[in-house]
Amino acid sequence: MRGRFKKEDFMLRAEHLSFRIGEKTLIDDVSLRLTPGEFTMVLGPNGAGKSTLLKLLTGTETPQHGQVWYGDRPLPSIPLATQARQKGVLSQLLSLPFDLSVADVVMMGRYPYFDLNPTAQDKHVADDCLASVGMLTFKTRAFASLSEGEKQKVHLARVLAQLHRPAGDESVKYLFLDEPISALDILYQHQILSLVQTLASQTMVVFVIVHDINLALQYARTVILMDQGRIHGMGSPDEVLTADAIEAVFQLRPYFLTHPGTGRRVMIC
Amino acid sequence: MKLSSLTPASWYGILTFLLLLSIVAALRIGAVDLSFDDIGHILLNGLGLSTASVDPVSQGLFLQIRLPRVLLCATVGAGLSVSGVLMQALFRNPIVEPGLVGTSSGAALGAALVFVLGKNINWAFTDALGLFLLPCVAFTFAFIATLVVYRIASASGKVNVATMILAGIAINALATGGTGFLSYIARDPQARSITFWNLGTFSGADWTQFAIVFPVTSVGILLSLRYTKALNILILGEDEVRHLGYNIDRLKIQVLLLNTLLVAIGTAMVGVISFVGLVVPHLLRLLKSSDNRFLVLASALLGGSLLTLADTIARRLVAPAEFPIGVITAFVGAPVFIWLLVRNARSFQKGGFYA
Repeated sequence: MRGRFKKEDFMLRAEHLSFRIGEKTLIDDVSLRLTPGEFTMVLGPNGAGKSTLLKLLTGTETPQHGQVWYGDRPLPSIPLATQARQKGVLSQLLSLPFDLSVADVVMMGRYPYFDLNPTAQDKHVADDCLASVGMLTFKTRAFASLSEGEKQKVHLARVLAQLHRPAGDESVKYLFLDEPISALDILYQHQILSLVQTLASQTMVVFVIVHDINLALQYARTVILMDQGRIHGMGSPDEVLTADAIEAVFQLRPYFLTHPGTGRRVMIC
Repeated sequence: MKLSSLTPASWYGILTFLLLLSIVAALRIGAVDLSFDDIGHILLNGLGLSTASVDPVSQGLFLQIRLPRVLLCATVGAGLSVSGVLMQALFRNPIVEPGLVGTSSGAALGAALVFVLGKNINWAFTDALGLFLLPCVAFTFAFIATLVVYRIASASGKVNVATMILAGIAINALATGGTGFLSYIARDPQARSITFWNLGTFSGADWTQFAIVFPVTSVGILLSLRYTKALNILILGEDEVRHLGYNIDRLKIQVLLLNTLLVAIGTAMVGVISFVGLVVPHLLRLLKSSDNRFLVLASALLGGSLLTLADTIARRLVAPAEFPIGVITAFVGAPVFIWLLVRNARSFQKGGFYA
């Protein structure tokens, strides 16, 4: 039996990451710690280095300096097959050269778990995940026939299937989403973020890039505000997303109102 | 379509039946048509199980020429088709096939080199080494040709289809030129036939060729199954392959090597047969699914059947002479290729087809 679950043991740590392409520095000496159970959202203007940071944290790109640690292990020392069972990444996706069915795409999330053919359990998980994003009725549809927003939801279901934990399994998972809601209408934006928020509370490290500051104010437990390859501020939304900080980073002075229903701060420009 | 709702298992059943049917038809039909009775007796005689009297000419023809030829044909068809599946998945492009990206012409050049220059090197053909020299050299040239095309096409980080086709044209021209030159300086009439190299023929098929090609192709197809999941993920993109647990750089090299193995050995024996690797996987994608786990085995079965049928037509149409089989595959394959190009050009305008 293991002792009490300690979140610190499964923290994601980045230490002094720097990443250059040619002369251009995309990430400049960034350090951070992400704790399981906290919904972290990343904000920043275009070109601030949000997607690059995500690539460094997931091992898609290798930093010239610095190191990423998952718990007590440096990321490059973890075999790719093991990584695939721990962390799921939804990046900004390309169109597919061959058409697949929605079920085929979601089943890819289970590939790290079966050899050549999926088990009944895998099929069950894939269906559950498809249902959790409200796309189960699209199961047999051709992926290419979906709208952009529907495609985003199917890809999210695929990543959820990849990180699915059977009941009783409390291993820590790491979820990275790069603008998962950019093509969704407001209802689904809130549905998806609520879903991700629930996942975050179940010992997952969740790292989501978004553009909407109000969504961050509403859902994030931790906000990372990035500017020019550096972290401008990191902490609770109310600490980090101040009028001064937003003006400094986005070059636009915001105003805050109080939401009449929830009493939260709402930003307008 | 009804066909797409059949399970993969029933598909394999249908395709296996089709393959057996093609093989039996190909064994019967030819310059000399044989009856089923004859074939049965000859097979039993050949195995030493019966001593029924059969025309000895028919028996020799069947056992020494037709049987190895048909079996070699089915094997080569299977290898080329599976290679088409691998290449299309690797290049993330439905119009790639071994003939387009230099694999086949590279192998033909390597084989021509051994045939023509090898005659001047005594050890190459006197030793048992000679048996392995041909496949090895063909393999090396085919791999280099494919790798060069792939490197040029993916120089910008992702495979660019226009660059790939142009690089394929250049490498094919270079290899075909080399093969043509070697045919020109060759004294051996067999090696002199440029048609042989560029259009392919099974007229020289014998048991030795089959004994080399069959094990290599079978192992190649079985190994291909190992990469089908990773190749499926590659449909989503290269980063996704990594996120789902595979090393993308290693995958690329291994699939290129495997593809070369499947194509080069067959091409060294029978010359360049184009379009089989293009048409077969595409047909199955239309009929069933783009899942590479299905495509590998199904393409092997369908490719074997179609090439066997094409060879039967090549033998029968102008009997007792015969067409180069490449003529038949080109007549069928080129229109399909053009249709694919047009279709893809349309989706390219919508921004759906970049690679």
